[in-house]
Amino acid sequence: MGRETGGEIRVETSLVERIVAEAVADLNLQRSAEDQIGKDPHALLFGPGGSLDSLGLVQLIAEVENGVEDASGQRVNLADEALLESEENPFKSIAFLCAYLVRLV
Amino acid sequence: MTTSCLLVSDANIAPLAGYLRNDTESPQVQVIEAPYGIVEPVFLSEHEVWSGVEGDTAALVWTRPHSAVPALAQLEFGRAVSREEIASGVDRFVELLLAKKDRLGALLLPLWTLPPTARNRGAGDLKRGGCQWAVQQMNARLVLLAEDSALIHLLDTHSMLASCAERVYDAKLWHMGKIPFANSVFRRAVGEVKAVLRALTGRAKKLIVLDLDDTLWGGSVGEVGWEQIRLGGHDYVGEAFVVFQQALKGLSSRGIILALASRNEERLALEAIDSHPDMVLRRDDFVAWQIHWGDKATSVASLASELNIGLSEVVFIDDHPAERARVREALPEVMVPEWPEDPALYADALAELRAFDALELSGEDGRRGALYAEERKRSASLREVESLEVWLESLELVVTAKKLMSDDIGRAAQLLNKTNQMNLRTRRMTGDQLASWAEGEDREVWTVRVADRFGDAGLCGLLGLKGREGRGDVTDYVLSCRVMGRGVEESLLYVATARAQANGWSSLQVEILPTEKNKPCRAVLERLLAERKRGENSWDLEGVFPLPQHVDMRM
Repeated sequence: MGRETGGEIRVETSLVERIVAEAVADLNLQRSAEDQIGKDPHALLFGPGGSLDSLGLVQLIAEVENGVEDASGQRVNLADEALLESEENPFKSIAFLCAYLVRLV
Repeated sequence: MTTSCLLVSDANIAPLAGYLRNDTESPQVQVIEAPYGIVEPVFLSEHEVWSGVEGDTAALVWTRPHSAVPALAQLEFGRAVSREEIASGVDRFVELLLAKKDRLGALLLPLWTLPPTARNRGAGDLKRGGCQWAVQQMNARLVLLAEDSALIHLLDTHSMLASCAERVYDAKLWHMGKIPFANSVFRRAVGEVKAVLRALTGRAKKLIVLDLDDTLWGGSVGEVGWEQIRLGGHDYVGEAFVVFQQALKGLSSRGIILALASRNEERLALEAIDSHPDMVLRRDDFVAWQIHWGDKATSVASLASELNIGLSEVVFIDDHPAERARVREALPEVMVPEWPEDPALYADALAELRAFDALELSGEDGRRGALYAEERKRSASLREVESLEVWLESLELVVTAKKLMSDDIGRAAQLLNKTNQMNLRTRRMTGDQLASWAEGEDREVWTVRVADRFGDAGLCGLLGLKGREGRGDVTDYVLSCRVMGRGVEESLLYVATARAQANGWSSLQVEILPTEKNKPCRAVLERLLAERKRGENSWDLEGVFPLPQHVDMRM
């Protein structure tokens, strides 16, 4: 669960990692054995050479946003084209996404 | 065994395609995806997706109400739409889909829903002219159209949505990906689609083998006596066992047979079943039992063998994890579901199995338990006579063969689609397809009813015959396992060859299409037609096959 700090609920790193892992696991249920998204947190996720196509990205965004909201009550918006094109693109890898979410919430 | 399913939608249901393709539950599904948003072009043209479609492919067509019946969109702009306009819109939509009816084995249509956020006029939306009212009208019309169709099967989207603990709709998924539901709905839909596919292809389960103590009632009858077991009464646990037994009784009444495998003293267990006032299931509801202190896996295997039911058609339910593990390990084909510890969840757990779906019910389904009880008496009578011949003579067996009649089409199709072991070529057809096939030139379908002094087994055999250049082929030789070993196998061959002679065919070819399950059919043919073998899988029959002396054939 989240951790209360002065009236706010903070989402802990381990919880963020679990939310992202569950979203990735759900995507993997739709993918063949050869096409699984690996567990390596630094593997390329979205972008040239990444394992996610745009449909997968949409689903990952929705699952993670909902997961964060369920855990913290806080609605985050990950569907930001400018963000995707920036150096900060959180969907570069699982590690980037987790780090971004921890900063965000 | 793999089944193919064509997915067509006005929205993006790619997540469903992925889940369906990778789900490990039987049957494995080969998914053919039509690009989304082109329902009409797919059904009105020879779109490339049809190149992968074979005759037994099921098409799942999942649409939003506004795209199926465009008039609905006008409601949102304040224009009134009548009930008749909606009905004719649904008729047109179904007619569109039926343009490909000859290419498909089944048409699966999820009922229409609106997103839960579509409130419009609130409660007023269910009044005439409201969107929710219109969707209810659409579904009512669809249910009516599907009522007598052997091709159309409806999926209850509302119960799918209601059973999802998570979000069922996500506006972001819709706006970014045109995905109409959250993934939880698609995961749920996979189970529903597979349940229909199992029912369509004769893979629904037929036998439930049940434990007694802490499964059908609370407590150990051997220790506390039947008066003290927890069943019924003012006790939520006792009530839960009654509800579970009622659910089982419901399955039994539509043809799923029940048997017992319990470690107990048989006398004490049967006394509880006969005497406890709150037992819903009584001795006559169980077609067989193995109540002793021996191994449960052996008991389950013996019951399946005694009832002539394949292990893959058996479900074993036991509250004890060690017993489940033992049966799972020894009999991997048997379905052994994990079982909740809380009896209050038993009835729901049974429903969740989705293993007993029946798309159509015949009169024989309701009598199946009684038929097996008659078989038990028949087998007991065999043990009392000195020879098989004397026993067969004593049966007073009457076999009635008739050309396929319209009243019998439902049961005949069910027999064709559910029978695995005594099935020559395992052809699967809907009732409409079977009737249409039978009307073709040089084709005949015959049904066979069997009765003896113990009871009437009903329609339990089917023959398909096809003429070809002065010769004949047996396209279907199907027999319910419960009448095997009484001369009905020979009687079917008699009917086939008599018809071949009446049609002037010089010979009749019987060619088996081997499957994992129809080995009993091959064994029967090898035994009866040993001298008429033509090839590895085929036999040639000339002249009329002799009818067993004890059979009173009516044709």
